[in-house]
Amino acid sequence: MYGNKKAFILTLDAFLALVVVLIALGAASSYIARSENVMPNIQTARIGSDIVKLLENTNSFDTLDATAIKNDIDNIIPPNYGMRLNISWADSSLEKKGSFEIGDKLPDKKFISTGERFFVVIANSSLTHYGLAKYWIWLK
Amino acid sequence: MKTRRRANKRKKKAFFFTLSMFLLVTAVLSLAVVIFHYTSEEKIERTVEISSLDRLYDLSSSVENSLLQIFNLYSDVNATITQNPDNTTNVSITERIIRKEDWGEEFEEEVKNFETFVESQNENVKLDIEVITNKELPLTILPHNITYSRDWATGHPTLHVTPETINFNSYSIIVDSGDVKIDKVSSQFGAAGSFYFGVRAIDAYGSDITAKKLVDPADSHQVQVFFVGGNKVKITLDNNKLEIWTNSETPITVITTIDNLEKSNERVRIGYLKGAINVTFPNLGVSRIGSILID
Repeated sequence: MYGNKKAFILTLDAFLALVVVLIALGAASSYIARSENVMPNIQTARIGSDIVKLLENTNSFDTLDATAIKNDIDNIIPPNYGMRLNISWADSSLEKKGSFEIGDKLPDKKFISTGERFFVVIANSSLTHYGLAKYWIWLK
Repeated sequence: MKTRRRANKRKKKAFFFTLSMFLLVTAVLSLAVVIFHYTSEEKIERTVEISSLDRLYDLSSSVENSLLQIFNLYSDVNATITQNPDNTTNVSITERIIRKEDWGEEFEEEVKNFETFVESQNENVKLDIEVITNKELPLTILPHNITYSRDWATGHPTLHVTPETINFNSYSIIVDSGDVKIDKVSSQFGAAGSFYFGVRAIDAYGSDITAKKLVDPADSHQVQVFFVGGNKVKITLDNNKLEIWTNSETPITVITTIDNLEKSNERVRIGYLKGAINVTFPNLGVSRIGSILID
């Protein structure tokens, strides 16, 4: 009778200890799950910046043509990233102005990195337009 | 009775041992959670900081790059830096000078329009237009702090080269007058020394005249290139400073070379517009004052 009681208490003790350990593990894993890994966000920002620099350096912006720039973006953007680009421009006398927006729709509840770069358009050794490229980039 | 008391004592001991272990584990766990919480918050703050600085640099460097393109297109100045085998450096600046009143107006207009466009698109970017459109176009050869500038008094352009110290061994100037025929070259050299001062004058008619001498750069020396018709280019070396002046109404190409600049730990660069570009993100608490390196 005494032996049975001791075994029961030992089992109960082990069970309670297991419950405490499980609660502790649960709390720890929920913290780890909640903490955001920030490295992909920095990577996203860098990729956006690189893409826009590349577009500028390959004179893609010089066309000021939405379709051509969209094609250039599609050729260089990694497939798991989404991007939206807004180009505002003015001619060198600042009389004519315009803007257009291309790319994917901005997602909800995702980290979106933004940035902007100014550029000038030169054709036949003469400055023809000033421009600003604003971009939004995110991991799909 | 004695055995019972001993058993009770053992039970108490076991209870306190279990309790103390439990408290210890709880304390360690709580500490781990607190540290983890603060670390993850700090990680997010660092990410925001890195992203803000990247964004600021991108914006500022794009303005610098655009201004550099405008400079290259409209300033008529071209600079090259050559590294010699003995690790000294030659710096050559080429430009076309001509007597005219409206020099630099196109450049000034383009820069002003660019400033208007930039500031209308992003209120965080401020350009110091007075520095940018300064007609003296002061270029600084870094890290030696040699200033190359010009003035345009009464329409006659004068190029100035002002070194902080003489840590190079020559000024070589090429005056290419193109279609303007050279009549003669006269020279007046002061005290002799070990510094090379040479002027080579060439035109499209086959003239190729060089006036050169090893001189003391602290003394005064002058070479004049006369053109048919009476106009001239006057090159003066006085107290280490070089001046090139013309009254020519036709563009004259002048290549000014500073030879064998002493080797330094830093790479030789040519800077322009020091501090003229200011980008500030007040909400992110970061700012950058930009300059342009033209080579």
